[in-house]
Amino acid sequence: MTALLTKPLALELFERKAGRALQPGDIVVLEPDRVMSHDNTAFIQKSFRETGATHVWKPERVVIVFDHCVPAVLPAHALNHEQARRFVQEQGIEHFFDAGTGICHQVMMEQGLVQPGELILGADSHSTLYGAMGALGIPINRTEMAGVWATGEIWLKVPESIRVELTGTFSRGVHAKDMVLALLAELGADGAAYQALEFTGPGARAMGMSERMTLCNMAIELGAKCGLFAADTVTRAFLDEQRGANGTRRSAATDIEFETKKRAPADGFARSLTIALESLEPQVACPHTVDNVHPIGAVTGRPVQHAYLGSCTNGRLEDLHIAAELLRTRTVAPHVQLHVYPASDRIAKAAERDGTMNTLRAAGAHIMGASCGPCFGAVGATLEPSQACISSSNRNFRGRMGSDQADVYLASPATVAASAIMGCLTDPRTLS
Amino acid sequence: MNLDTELIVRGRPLGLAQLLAQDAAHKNHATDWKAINTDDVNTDHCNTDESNTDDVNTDALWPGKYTYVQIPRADMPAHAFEGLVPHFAERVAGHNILVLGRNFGCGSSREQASECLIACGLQVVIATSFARIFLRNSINLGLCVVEAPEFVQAWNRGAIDRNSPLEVRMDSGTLLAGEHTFTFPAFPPFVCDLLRDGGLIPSIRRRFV
Repeated sequence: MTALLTKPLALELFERKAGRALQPGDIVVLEPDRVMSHDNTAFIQKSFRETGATHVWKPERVVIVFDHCVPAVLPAHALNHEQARRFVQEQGIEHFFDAGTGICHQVMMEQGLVQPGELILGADSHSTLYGAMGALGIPINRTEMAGVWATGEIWLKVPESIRVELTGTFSRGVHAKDMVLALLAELGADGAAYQALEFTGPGARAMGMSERMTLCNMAIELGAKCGLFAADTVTRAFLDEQRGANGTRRSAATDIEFETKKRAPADGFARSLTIALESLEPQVACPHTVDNVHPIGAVTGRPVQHAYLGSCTNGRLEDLHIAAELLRTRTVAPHVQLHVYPASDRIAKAAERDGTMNTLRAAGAHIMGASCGPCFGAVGATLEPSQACISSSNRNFRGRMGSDQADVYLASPATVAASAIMGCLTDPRTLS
Repeated sequence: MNLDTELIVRGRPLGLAQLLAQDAAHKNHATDWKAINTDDVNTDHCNTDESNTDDVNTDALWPGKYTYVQIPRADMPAHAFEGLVPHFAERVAGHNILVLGRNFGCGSSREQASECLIACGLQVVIATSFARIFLRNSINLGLCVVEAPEFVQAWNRGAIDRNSPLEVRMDSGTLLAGEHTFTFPAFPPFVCDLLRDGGLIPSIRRRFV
């Protein structure tokens, strides 16, 4: 195994899948272990039929989750769901999760449908999240997914890797989202284009799965092909916990060894950088690009009318806990709407059981169903021109959450909660 | 596979920087965009916020509110580039090549971002660089994607006659613009074959039908 520790993880995983030695830039044709699509399944099945294929290559590898247009607010959304449900029936797809189960990436992780070392293709840009499991999570879209369903294969270019060494621990009020926003400030919105972002070092190993998912999820915002953490004891504990919750079978065996020992610094990275976690402050991505990032101090006091806590980036139980801690003895400011979208029904139920939801409700938050919510502007609250939103989601593009005159600020769940309390952009460290 | 036919596209390019400069001028002078002749607009100073062609995201190309509505390709031009370029389809009419900036098509993986450009009659998009998913989607739909930073720079500088036809040779990675020749890294032959086939679906269809 020693040899395996001396090269970037992405290269190692591509080599395992291909069964031969590779170099960045090589093109390989691979069979994915899982493929995921969501509300766009209705579109994909149309293209699939146009290929002339009649059956998906391996129905057991196909996962379909409804999350983007939940609830269906247009008949067109309901039509997508109906067509996809019929396709699921027709093709005998067992891994189907209807509206309300949760956001696709969260559901994939919870259901044990992502295992270390696997190649997971998702018809959604945030499929980079699967890297938190030590899997290659690579985003594609509709036509390509139709092709994979038909043929069971995809061509991929082996990426170069960027090594992000994390040291130390976050100071109070600073979280994984702040770290990845700081990375965006440093590298820019195409700073990892076509490359793999490998998070490593003691700061990375100390992170829980929720934080790892936040970082890998946001890798796409740097243009990355995938984000990656090496699978370790934290990964194994997460898998065991979810397996217990699923009451299931150990899922398909994987030959990846969970690494308990320190991963040796590897050669072969295109670039390496180090981030000292304790040096970070809360960060905010200001309108209208993800890399327009400033420390919270630069923007404190700007009024917000809407606060969105949720999304595949930051809608997990840990995120709700962070917000609830700040809201326990406080309330949401008058004239501010705080909408909370748990990333899955499992998370929602856990947050009900442990009192988090009651805390949030008592503080004035609106608790919504497990779904993508208003993240991309088709479902849920939309902003009018004069409004600003503080959001724990992943994109603040002009017009994305409503009017093209409205402003969206991206931040951690702590900064979202603090800003909802004060009615303006607020440093969460000033509240505790 | 079918390398006997070289993939060559000839046509008239239109530049996104010039479209955005028109809009900025429109904003400043409150005139109708149609009344502005592209050639009269000084685009030397187009590094303003309004005319920045870098990091154009797919929400700008195809807003989220339409992304989960099944809109036939014939009806797509009405909404193409709605988030950034008003009346895009009308203004791009007569052009089959579009010149773009850096990291074009970043953000969401929505494929309509590429498809709506095809629906507007575009066959080639040339950029400083493309975001990864946009690039793949475009190839899979048969839209020729060309990363040619030197060309884009020359184009925006006005070093190339913008009214002359351009020839794009995908197999060899060559752009012929009047007396100027630019090269770009050509795709491997199998990718050029995908483009020749008109995209991934027609290409797979050969296997099954």
